[in-house]
Amino acid sequence: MGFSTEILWVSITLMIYYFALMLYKRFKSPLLNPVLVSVTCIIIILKVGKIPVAEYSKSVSVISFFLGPSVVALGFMLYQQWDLIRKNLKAIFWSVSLASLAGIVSVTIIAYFLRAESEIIATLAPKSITTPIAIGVSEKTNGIVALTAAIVIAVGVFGAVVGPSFLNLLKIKDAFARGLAMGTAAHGIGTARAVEEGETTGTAAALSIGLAGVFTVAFIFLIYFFIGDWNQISIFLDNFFNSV
Amino acid sequence: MPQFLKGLVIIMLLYAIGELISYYLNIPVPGNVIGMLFMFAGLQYGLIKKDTVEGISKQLIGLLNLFFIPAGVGLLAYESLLMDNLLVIVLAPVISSLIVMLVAAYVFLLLKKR
Repeated sequence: MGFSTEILWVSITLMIYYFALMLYKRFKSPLLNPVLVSVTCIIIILKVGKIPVAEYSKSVSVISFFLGPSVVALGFMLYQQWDLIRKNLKAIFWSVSLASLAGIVSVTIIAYFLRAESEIIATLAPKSITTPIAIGVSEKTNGIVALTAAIVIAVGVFGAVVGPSFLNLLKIKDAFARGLAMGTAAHGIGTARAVEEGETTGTAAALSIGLAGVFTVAFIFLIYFFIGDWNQISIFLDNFFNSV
Repeated sequence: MPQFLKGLVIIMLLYAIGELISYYLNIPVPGNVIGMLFMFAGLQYGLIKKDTVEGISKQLIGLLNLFFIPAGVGLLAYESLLMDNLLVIVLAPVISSLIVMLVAAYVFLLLKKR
């Protein structure tokens, strides 16, 4: 054995992330999103070196581990901005719940029209929420768990890269509204980007991670309860669109 | 430094309690989100001192992006499945994400107190 692959891959990952962050700070281009750049570089290294991705994943599990404590730490941000949150409780509740519902319904219907199998729909349904919750949902609804985890990251990166420009295009200037949009659509990665816009935007995003997670879980399980699993949902949609 | 360590201990404890609750009550809400709510409640009701957890919390949140990288690289394991379903896996989440942002922002602006 000799040299531990953990030390090697953890150091390489940290180093690449450091340089990606420097690059982002230097050029400020949304396309240079640090997660996007780091993931791309590491994938290239693994491809070129013909290294199995499973070996990499096993070696860097210590890095993913810290996602858990970081989500707990977001509770601190909620506490800090509680006054602002309390003032707009109703608006926050409806914003995040309706957006979460719109997310599940739209992704299901688009996937259905693209003739995706029910396994893929189950994999995609929790795409907007934070990885640990999305994994739980995917698992309990017979999705492909690891693919869900990967798609969640891709959605997060997309939200972080495109989100701010899209919100500018919609002429959304309200800091809190921007945060809710980024956090609800793009969970932690969107939040990391939202934090850059300021404390209010960051807090709104942090708040939406938990809320969107809880609402999405609730909605998906309600759909399951009233309609059935994704197979039955496909049949339900067949009947629905035939009758219209 | 001891403050920082104390903060880390509190966070790990809340995380562990959250995981235990999630596991034993068999609910789909993950332990870290339960831990987040406990963190908020603990601070709100004065059981946790703000100064104890402030430093470590800000450090962890600042590194949030880094902790997502392994999962992002994990995409590579699903290369063939991805390629077979490329259209749906790219198109559906992209359009849906834009819809989510639009709904979240507009509903908030509509109901926000002025």
